[in-house]
Amino acid sequence: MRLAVVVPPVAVIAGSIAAWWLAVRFFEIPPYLLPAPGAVLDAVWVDRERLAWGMLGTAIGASAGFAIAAAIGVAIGSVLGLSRFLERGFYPLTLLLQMVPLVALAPILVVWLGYGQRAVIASSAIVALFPVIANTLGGMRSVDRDLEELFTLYRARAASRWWRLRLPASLPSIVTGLRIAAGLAVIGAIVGEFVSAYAGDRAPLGMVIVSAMKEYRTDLMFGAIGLAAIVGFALFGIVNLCGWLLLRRWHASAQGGSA
Amino acid sequence: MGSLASGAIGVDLHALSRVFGAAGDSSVEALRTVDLSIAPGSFTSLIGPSGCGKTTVLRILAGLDRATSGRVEFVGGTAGEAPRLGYCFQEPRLLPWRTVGANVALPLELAGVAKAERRMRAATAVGKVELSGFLKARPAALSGGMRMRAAVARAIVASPQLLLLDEPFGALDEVTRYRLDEMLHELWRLERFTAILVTHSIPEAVFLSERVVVLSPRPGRIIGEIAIDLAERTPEIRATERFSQLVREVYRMMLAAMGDAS
Repeated sequence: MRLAVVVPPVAVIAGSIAAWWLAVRFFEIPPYLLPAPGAVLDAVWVDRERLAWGMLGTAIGASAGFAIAAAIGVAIGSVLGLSRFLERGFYPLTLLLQMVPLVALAPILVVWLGYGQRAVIASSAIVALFPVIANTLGGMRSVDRDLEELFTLYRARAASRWWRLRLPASLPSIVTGLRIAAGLAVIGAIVGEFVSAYAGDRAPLGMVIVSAMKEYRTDLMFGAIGLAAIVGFALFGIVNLCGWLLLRRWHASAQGGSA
Repeated sequence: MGSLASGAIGVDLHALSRVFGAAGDSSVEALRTVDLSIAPGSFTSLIGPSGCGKTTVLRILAGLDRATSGRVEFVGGTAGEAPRLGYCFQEPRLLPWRTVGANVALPLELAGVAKAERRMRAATAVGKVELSGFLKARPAALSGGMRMRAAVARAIVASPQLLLLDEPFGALDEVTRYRLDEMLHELWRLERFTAILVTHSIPEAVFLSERVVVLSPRPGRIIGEIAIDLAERTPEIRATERFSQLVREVYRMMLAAMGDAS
């Protein structure tokens, strides 16, 4: 059982890397266009210190952005879920915001917040925000009417109803939103770093990618992109694990094995 | 303290009517001028065909619905205080993320009872429905009958003066239903809250009640009532001639009511 779960993805990944390696080799692709997998690993090793700082910087920016998106998204989704009136009024606006290419806001954030980590975090949070709002609202909208009535029967206050009923009932849906947000937070952070980060020894991955481009170091760019993906995967993994820990005892989505 | 130590309250319904929807062709008249007086500490069943407004009576009493006209009066209890109500819905309505103990404690929690006290009272209530071994189990791990027991424990945890039971065991199999009826009778005998049960099942109404009130098909009106003079409510009583006789009496009254309507 376990083997059947692990083997297929490992085989596909290994096969893809082999195909990459063979393509570079047989078509004699110059390394500045597409370096071989080994060359990328070499570059990562040579620049390990720079990349480690880069990963740390991006991880901090993306995590902070994610945390802000999670808090604000759950708050906005909960408030919109309170009444049809609020939902009708504000939901189209949030949809409209979704249509704005959010990454294009990054330069404006630099204008507002200045160069540096603040703009990166803001960029990450804005890009990750929407799926949290949408999924929280979806969860709040589908709380069991019968349970709502139970709380009405016992004259629950609004805050109590939210904390004891609506939030836990929406949790499976919120976790789904947060999973999507985890990947987006890293994208938002990298784009923020493209436009606002500082160069230097401890620059985050987005800045490393921009510098490497200027230095014609394609191998280092590939390495940095791969590590950015790892940051995203780690954030996703943490969210998944937290979701599983919260839901495992009662929700079907978390039953039958760990994340 | 008298014999009604729990402070059970009586209920008077005065010409209670309920019409759903705007006046006109599409409106549905659920209840028509229902007058009923229920004594403190008594066990009364409302029985009638589907859609006769039985549930509406309970919902109005619980404040989940409003009467179109007429009024409800609670008799006895503490002046200036809302009566303590317990309500058992047709479904268990347990919170799936909470354990049995935490589900049962919910009414106390919402009423602001301190944690230590509500834990103790929840455990006591869970014991009364014979679920002590499942205090920490979640609803998904329980059978239908056990979930309903937990729902009963939640309904009685705050020592209600009036317990409203909306066909609580209707979805259970016959044998489980008998057992829960016996448990409910014991609870009532010991705690002496006022109980109003809505049910489709004549034997259930006869087994549990001191008084069975028969309602007509929609719009619900009171057709008549039968006093249940069974001395004791043991499982064996269901096999007696007197029990069958009472079931037949209620049935005949219902049948007559249906005949009137068609």
